Amino acid sequence: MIHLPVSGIDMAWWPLVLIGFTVGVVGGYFGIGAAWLITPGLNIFGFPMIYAVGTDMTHVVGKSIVATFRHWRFGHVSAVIALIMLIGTFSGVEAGAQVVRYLTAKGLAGTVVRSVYMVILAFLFFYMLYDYLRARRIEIATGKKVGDIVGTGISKWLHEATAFLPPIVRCRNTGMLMSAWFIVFIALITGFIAGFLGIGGGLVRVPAMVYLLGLPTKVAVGTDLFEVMFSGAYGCFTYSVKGGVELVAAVIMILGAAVGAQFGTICTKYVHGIFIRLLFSITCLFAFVATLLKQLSRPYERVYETGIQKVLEQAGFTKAQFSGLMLKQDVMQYYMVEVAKRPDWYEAWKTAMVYTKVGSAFILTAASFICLVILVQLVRGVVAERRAKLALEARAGATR
Amino acid sequence: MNYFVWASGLAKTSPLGYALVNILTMAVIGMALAVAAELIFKALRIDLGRYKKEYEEPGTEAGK
Repeated sequence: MIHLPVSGIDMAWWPLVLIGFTVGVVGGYFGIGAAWLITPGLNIFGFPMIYAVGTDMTHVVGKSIVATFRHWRFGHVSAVIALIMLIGTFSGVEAGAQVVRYLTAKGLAGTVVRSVYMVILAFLFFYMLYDYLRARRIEIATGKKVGDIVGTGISKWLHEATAFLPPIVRCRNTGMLMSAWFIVFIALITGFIAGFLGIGGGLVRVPAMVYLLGLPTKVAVGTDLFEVMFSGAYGCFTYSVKGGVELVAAVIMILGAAVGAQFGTICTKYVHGIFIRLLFSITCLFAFVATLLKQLSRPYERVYETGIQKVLEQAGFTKAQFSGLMLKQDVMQYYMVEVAKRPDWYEAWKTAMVYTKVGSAFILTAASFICLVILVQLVRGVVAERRAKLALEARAGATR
Repeated sequence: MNYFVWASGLAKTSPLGYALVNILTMAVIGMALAVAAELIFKALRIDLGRYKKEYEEPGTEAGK
């Protein structure tokens, strides 16, 4: 067990390493922060949830440095595009956050944000799956393996429409030329969506780089991770200032994430970009289902959460302890039924817990599945490479 | 562990200091782990290769 000094809670260290490792694999492979995997995972293992988002963003800073370094060594990182995108991203995030504040004042934020998030995830799932199947059709038609498809009708049109706007920048990795304003424009849109949804943005930025900027998939993954370093640092800063970060937990997570990120990043060497898109689409589907389950539990949570938090506060518990207590049936039964005399709260809590438990089980299974697929791809790639190298050496030896 | 206890004290007394400590800690650990991984691969003589273009140029069948 480790002691978390900011929240005053004790918890086991190994779930943090495990979560860090899993998210490292997924993040290194897709170029995303994978917060949608982290926060439910932390909740299940009793991590105080008021520190979950901030701690996640803090660990993302370190994890993204490790993964970006590896992708940079592969030649997957366009620092120029990433730095220009930061300008648009930060502006877009602030604009999105302002819209959320407006909706919050109207009492509409939760439902609207989650609904928009699900629409985007569903769209990404269908479009990227369609994209993968299109590549397979091209393979059948041409008889040639399709590793990656670069550019779409929209990206080509956008490139042509902005080609006259200086400054023009060059993506060294691919030789592509594009207007810096084009990059800022795309980043503004993705930043707005990220700020609106309250997410890091990788889930939206990587597809945007692929389908709107027209970058090759692996370059989009590496370039996004470069940007995640800065957006993660910004998130870490804002949450830390509010006291919402457990540094100990972030450090333990990064120890697992650093190892996982190596596996996830190196695996991109052995798979085609188009396969990364297929797995990305499946990941979007998992995120959609997880968000749907959360949405279904919200009406029940709204019945009791404000009231029970007041009761727990009066009983002497700290805010950091609330999330852990609200997972315990005996505690909730006691405080809701016997102390607060609100059996309706308890009934709503039981229904919400069904969705929470199903959602948690689903997330853990989904994360394990994605991680396993990536690791299997890595092992297969390493074995195939080794065999090819040995065969080459054997041939070279035979010809001497 | 004393470092983390000290840092958690900053969370209450100096939130800005706490934020800077967090970012610096993560940056230092991240870079150290990244370099350590690179050195391990070099020591094991594992060549991880470089980016290989795996798409057709636009105008070809696969590029359409």
